[in-house]
Amino acid sequence: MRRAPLWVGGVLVGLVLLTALVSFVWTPYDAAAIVAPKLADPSLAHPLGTDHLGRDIVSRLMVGARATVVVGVVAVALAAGGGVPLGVLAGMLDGRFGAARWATWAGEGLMRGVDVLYAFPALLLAILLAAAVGASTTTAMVAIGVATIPAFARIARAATLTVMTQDFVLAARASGTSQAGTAVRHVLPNIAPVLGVQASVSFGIAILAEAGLSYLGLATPPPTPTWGRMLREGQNVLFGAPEQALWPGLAIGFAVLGLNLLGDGLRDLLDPRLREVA
Amino acid sequence: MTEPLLVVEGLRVAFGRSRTEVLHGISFSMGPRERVGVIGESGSGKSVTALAIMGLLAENATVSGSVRLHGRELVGLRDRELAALRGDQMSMVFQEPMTALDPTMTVGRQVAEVLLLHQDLPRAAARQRVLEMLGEVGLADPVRVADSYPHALSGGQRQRCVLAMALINRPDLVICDEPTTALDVTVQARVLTLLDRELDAAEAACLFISHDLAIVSQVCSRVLVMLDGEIVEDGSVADIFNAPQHAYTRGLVATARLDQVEPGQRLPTVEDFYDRGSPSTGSPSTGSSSTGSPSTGSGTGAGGLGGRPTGSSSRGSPSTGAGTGSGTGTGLGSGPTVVS
Amino acid sequence: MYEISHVTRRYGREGTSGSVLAVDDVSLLVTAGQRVGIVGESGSGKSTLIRMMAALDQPTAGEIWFKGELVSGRPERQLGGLRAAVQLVFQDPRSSLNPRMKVGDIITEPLRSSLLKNRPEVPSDHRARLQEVMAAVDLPYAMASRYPHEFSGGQRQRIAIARALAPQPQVLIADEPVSALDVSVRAQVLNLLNDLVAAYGLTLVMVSHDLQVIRHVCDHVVVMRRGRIEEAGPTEQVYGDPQAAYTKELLAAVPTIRF
Repeated sequence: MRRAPLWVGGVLVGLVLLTALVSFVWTPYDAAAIVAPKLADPSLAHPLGTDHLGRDIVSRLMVGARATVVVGVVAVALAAGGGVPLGVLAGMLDGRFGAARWATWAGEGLMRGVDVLYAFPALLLAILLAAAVGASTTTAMVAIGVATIPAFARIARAATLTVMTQDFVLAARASGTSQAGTAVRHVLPNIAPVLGVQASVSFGIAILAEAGLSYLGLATPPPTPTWGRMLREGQNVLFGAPEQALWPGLAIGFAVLGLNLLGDGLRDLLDPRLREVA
Repeated sequence: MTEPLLVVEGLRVAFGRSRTEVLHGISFSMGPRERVGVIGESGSGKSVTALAIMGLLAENATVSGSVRLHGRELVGLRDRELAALRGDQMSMVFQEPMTALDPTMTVGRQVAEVLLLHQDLPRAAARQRVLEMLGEVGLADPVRVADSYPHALSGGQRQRCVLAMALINRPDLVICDEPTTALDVTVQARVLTLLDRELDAAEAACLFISHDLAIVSQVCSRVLVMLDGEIVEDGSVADIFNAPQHAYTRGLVATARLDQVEPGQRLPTVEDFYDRGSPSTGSPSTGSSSTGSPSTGSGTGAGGLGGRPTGSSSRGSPSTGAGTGSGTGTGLGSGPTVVS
Repeated sequence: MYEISHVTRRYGREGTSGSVLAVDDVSLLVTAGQRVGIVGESGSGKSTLIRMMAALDQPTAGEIWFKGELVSGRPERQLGGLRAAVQLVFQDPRSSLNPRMKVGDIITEPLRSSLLKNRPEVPSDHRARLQEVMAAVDLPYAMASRYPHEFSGGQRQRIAIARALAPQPQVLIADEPVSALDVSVRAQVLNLLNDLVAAYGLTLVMVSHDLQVIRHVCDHVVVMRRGRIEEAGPTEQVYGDPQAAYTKELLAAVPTIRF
């Protein structure tokens, strides 16, 4: 089935979203409460057992999904909101037919400025922010988001340049459409598919980054569970109770896999269809 | 009567899982040294025919029927066997000189590659042969050209190199897919003269695909007219022009003879002669709401899109399958390329 | 209409490598109602010239006057008059229409642009105008809600023509309007152009590399080569009695039907 990536990806991502949403209303047990003996085996009451403090793992996974989704969404939104306008601006400056030299320089300069951000991996930013205001979900989101801006800026610029070579952009100008109007009405709708794909991919990366950061204690502080920290805590008891690390690890893996598949599926769905039917 | 060089019988080509058929069982034959033109609009199947003969269609293409070169059946041959024939007994010249050459290899190496694939020659001899060939196709400084990269050459020079590659092994059949469409008109004239000369020298037959009747009439002695995946007429150039049988051919001929129409007068269109009926895709014909303009409105929805199977979403639809061949997707040349 | 005076367009800085002289000291006069064909091969500068005429590109030297007003070197916001009166039809029907916009919106875009919409000569009733122009190019109004990819090349070119007609321009500049179309469709589009130019009394500037097309549509022709004008004059005269060597070469190179 050609659309398999789309469906599988969609299902996986949908599950994560659903879990996160449901967790707001109901979890089997309070995720922070100690409800059973430590490291209990999976049973009917606790399908995945309990963790090293006696908290129900299923409940913790569910609540952990929240952090995953929230960090993913906010970080990507931040990255897109910052990166796309920069990229489109740079692309339009550079890609205009017969662009003046200053415009080309400006476009290039803008991209080099954005490139500076590349020098700051999310980790570094997170450490800086944590040192300044204390680690929290927010610092994690901001750090990851800012670190992802260059990715979006680049993709947006590349896609914008492609669009700018099309005659309809010139036609818009000949019709009297302003540059801003062109950006909104002509460039954005045509780069949207590419950006959508990038968003899926970045979402996956953001989740991994969050897991890493909370593993290092630079994100959501305890006792609120996040998958990353659950991994960390699982590491302590790795030899005695390996499944502690297994569940959150699988959760992360499936979420990222789902997002990547969704991204692939979206790309196949959106781009060629426009070209094929032409 | 000499043995025909190429015999095509009942050739059918379908794409994709939905088996959308683009060629509906065409048949024709070519004698040695014969020059046959193939005329048709985009979507008529002419490029697909060429690629089918060469065995260059995409993987999701289903080919049935018979194609025999020198009596040897080509349909169903394994790619390795076909590859041995390509470049040697049959070769192809594509439309876009810019993309037909590898930008990362010097031209000399590329021409030599074709030579060495089919002949075992020591490098020095191969180089010699390459330079000879480049000179033969009219390049003024073969040594410089051989050591140049494609981007350093003009469109006309590149197309000459492509011709050199196609002819260096003295094939028996050369298939040209709109070889001059992307070239300037003065360059085109020279390349056509060159082609004529080289075909004679190589004693090769030529299957010349074009949308331009005038060019075909100069190069070829026979013409096949294709429409919607079928051959609707097959005759000598003189017959096609003087006594076209099929209505569509009549329309094409009328359209081509711009020189016979008074400037300012209405040009004859294909629809004047041949009614295509309801198009297979796109605009539903709601008849002409014309304000007196002669174009017959939505009936022309079939204009460029007519021959193609209804909006096939399969990957193998002609424009992608034949992409490299007919250059429909690569309209970057200095001249026009035909939009499918 | 147009007075083009010693216009030059150079890309890149003079003296550096990569500096290209696309248009070299070109002077041209176009009077109202004329149908001017600009003929030339690649690199002749013809496309660059018309872009400058449409103020999509600025000359590096020389001036372009439109209806008595200087348009070269003017900032965008002062070009409303030019933009309303001069419209373009581009060569490639696939890239000249925004694939994500409905055809009706594409055609009426000139009417909605901030530069044009309040001008007196531009129609304000968009829907009515849309119906008018679609009828003029012989496309059913019902198709206005469709997307470009649902149309054939010839139809898309007609949509492009409709778009150009929407703001009731006086000048139509067509850049190789039929080169990317199948030969069987060209006649229709050319007939359409001829009819529209006659019906609306438009001035036409048409660029092509195809001498026969130019001869059929235009009453004046300008032959360009490497940025310069080689020859100009009434079509019949230039075609019948070419003076410049290049013109003769061009005419001789046109493939003629031979059997």
